Amino acid sequence: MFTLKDRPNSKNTETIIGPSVKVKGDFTGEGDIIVEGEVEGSLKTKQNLLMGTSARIQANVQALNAHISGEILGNIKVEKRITLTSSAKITGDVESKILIVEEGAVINGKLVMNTETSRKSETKPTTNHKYQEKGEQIDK
Amino acid sequence: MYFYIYDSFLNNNKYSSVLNRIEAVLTDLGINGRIERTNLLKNIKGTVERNITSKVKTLVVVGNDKTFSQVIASLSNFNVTLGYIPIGTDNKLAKILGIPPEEEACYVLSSRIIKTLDLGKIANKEYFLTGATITGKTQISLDDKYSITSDNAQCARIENLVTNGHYSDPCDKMLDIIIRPKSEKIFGNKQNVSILQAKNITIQHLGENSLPIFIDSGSIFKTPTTISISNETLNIITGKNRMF
Repeated sequence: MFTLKDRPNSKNTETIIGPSVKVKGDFTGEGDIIVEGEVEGSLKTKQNLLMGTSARIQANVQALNAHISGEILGNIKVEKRITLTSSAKITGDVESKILIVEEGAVINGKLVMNTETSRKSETKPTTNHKYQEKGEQIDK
Repeated sequence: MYFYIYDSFLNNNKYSSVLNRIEAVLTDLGINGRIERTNLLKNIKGTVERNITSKVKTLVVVGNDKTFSQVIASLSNFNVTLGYIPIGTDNKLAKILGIPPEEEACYVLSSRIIKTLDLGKIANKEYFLTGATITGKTQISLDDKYSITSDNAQCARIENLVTNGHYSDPCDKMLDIIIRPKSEKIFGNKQNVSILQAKNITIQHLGENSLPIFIDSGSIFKTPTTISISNETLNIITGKNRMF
């Protein structure tokens, strides 16, 4: 899975929306999309979406995989995996098969995961909890 | 039949020896043909319009990148195959096409590796192979579906063929829109280039005054205008070291 570090200049990345650029309207792409600016309207791609920390999307989003570090005001539907990093903020519904959420990410909306071919949603624990026999919780 | 069109700057005596060497190699290779020299009274556009008939199968431009772009802009018959003999070493388009300068280009011409490349068209008037540059604040609408604006754009390039380090596929029937920021670094963070693709692009100025759009052939158009990928394509003789 790609990260911001290996921001490609290759043929596979079809679209790069830089930090100072605003896109308004219905954007549909066939390849990978990197968003570091603003998008308003709708955003769809058949491949991967990579969203930087300064990026802001006010739109419904559809992608194959998504790696989110910015803010989305809208619903996001991902076919395979969505990764929300610590700076991600989503106000809207999230739908995907696999969900990875880092500490600090914010979701205000409904979460739907396909359970037919489901895998457990993986959440990275913030603290270790030790439970006594009676079920009391003791913070380590 | 080969037809050679020489740019007017080659009329200077300092180019006579290189032209003699080129013509000797062309004769040895058996691909010499009719030569037409342009000058102040006989410009490229007029020369192309008068002489490029259906009998001309290969039109060879002898000059520099600007000459090559001007010939493309002047073409009305796209059934001709275009060749290029670049004079001088600072011809970026020649390098992209994999064509070495001067006599070495004759061997590329002789090997006839032909590639069919897309053409862009601006304001429904002029064709271009490489691209166009826009400076100033503009709104760019892509395929009538969405628009882009930038507060910090140094310039926007509409590209068909790879230039300036960015890879632009000249055979994908799409134009690349590249927006470069004004400052390389703001608050210590490197601003990045934006790259989008479309077939039809409408450019409008934000503000009262029209903005110029510079085509690589040297022509200047004004906003608002449209740039689109043309239905016409062009067969160009390229070298094996081409960058696409």
